[in-house]
Amino acid sequence: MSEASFEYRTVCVGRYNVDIPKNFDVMFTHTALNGFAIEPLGAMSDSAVRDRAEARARALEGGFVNEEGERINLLKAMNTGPLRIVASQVDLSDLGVTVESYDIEAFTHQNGAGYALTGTVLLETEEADLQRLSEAATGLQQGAGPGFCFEGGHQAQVQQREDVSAFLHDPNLEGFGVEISITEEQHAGAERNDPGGNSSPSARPVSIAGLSGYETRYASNKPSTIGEETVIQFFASVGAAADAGAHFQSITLQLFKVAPSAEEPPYTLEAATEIWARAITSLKRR
Amino acid sequence: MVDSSVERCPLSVICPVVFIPGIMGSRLRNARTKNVVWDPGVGGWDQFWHTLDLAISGAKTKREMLVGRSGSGFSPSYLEVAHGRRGWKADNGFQGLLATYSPFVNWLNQDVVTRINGCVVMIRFVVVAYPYNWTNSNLGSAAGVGEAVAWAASQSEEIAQRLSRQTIKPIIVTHSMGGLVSRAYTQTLGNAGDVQGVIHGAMPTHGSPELYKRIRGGFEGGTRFILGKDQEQVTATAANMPGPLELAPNRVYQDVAGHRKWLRALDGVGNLLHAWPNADPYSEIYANAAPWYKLVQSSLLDPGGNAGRAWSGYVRQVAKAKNFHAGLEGSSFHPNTRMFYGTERKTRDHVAWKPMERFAGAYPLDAEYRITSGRTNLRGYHPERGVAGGRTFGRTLQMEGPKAKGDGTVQAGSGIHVDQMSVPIADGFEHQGAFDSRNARKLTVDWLTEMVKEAIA
Repeated sequence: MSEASFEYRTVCVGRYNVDIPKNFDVMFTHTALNGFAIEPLGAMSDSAVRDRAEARARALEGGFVNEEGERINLLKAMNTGPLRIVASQVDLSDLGVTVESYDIEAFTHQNGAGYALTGTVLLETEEADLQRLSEAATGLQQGAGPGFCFEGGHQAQVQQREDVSAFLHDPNLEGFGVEISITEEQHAGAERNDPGGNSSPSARPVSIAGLSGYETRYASNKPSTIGEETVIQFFASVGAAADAGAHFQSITLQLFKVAPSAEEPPYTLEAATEIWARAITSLKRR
Repeated sequence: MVDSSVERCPLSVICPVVFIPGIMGSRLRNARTKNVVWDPGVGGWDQFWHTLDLAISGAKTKREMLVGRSGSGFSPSYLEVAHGRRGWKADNGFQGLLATYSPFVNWLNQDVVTRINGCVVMIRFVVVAYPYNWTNSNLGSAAGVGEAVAWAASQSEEIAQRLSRQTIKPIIVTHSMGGLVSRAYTQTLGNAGDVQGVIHGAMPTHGSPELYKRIRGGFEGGTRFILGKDQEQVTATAANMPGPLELAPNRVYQDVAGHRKWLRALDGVGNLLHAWPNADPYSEIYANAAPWYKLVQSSLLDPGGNAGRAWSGYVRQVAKAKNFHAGLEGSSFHPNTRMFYGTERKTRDHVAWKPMERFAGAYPLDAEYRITSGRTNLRGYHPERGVAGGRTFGRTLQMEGPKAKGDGTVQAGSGIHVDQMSVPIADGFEHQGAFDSRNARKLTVDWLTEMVKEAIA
């Protein structure tokens, strides 16, 4: 395509920038630093963060049954550096097994805002896990800025492991958009398979953000027989295998359209192809 | 003057029917992005998966689609049913069903003429489907059945009023794992009084060893494209989901012959050496990380993630399965239940690990082992000579093929060892297509008709 049909703007996802049509939004679907998911709580005081942590600990005191019917017991509530930690454990006594881990909800006040970090700590690596948690929390900031960006904020410091997923989409239309998932580990926790390796005859080589991999494209040339179904699906995966301890990077993109036909406006096959091409060529490290 | 014989004739009946499909029987999509991740049987979807098959062959990508990003445990809200844009009530839930069920549910939407007390009575079946997120716990899925039951009842009531007919309480018809959802709805959640009766087709009443085989050895057929063709892929997907895990045999599971120890180790000529579970499959097999015959290898649960954390998440799902099973172990059937099962296809009613080497004699359970998809390599000192004897041994175990009666997935013991009315069907139907069997359809309509007669008697 010689001329773009859409106007584009640049947005950030993790440590990368990518171009999306001007009317698209970025929906962060997963953000985790060092294995701990991050949820921004907005601008608030340190005491408000403390109140929230204490309220959570109180809610777990004496046990709490979640919506999945699991009984959660408060293990401990403690302050560690910038973190107010509420540690809990699922009651598995009926199962007759011991689980060597506990779940964490950590609350922190950083640069005028509150954040909740959640994840699992293994007893075997507890000290290191808590250290990584502290590193992930320290320096979180609201708004745009350098480093790793997520919903409403950023972390300037490079973390041992950074995971982010986002959905780039038209907020006024359901069933079309681009999913992007990025993982980067400074030192892979174990051997990592090659995300860019593929032997499909329909795959073709592609380079995204300097990483090699493959791309496949599917588009239906017939209308759906059940009303609406997946009519367009583009997929790309880049990166390289890594040994345990080595640097590892993986980027996956997927464009999909669920509709009565591939040509249903406004995002026809031609439009989808343009958005896809722009996404994979514009994706660059910030 | 009105003829008294006409006066005694019952009104024709509008009979609400709620159909609950089996595992993998509902179209699923990502709840946030609305990307459809499970829709086999639709022409376009099948085509694109064949196109992308190898492209998305990695266990990590499959897990991300069906369970969540690396590091995320199972969440019941990650996926949802891919209903039509107008909502499930607009099409009575049919759009959310897998296309393979369409012929049956469309066929069931029919009128039947029968005789009651010498009178000709017409019965119209009004079918509402209840597709559900089959990756979730069946108890979680059961929580939504009431809405479909209420909708089916109100739809029928409206038609009955319009046509001056009578209606009855809904009857539930289930396929495969849908039977567990239904039993959880009527018995565990205490809603038996809201339905007239239940008809189960091809239900794995107390679980199926096929689940073990698939996690340790992969799926076959079209399902392998998504849930995985080998141990690595199936562990990364199904083993993280409570729904599939609840298909594991429970504590009271029995094979066709009535044996409870469904996991066996044979020697090279077929002699039985060991059998499990002794008492508790959860602590002995499912949540036991140590032995070679365990269900799950923790390193495969979250490719690219932390095995220890993934194991913690997995054990939570096993605990849910145990609690769910406990609620259904007794006589947990709706009091008005009828069920059918297949008998003519070779099916696993147990899993037998057998050495490829055709040697008789024992091998120790605590040998060093290496697990690959569908196989286990054992290495150690000869059990009778010990370390001092200096003789080492090696065995490569693989799972024997299916040998019992069943429908290819659910073994006949599921229908034999129950106190309910349970009828074998010997026309050779295959599990997924159970309701495409002419005999199964006839039986279903006959039973529906019987239940209607019971209701208006």
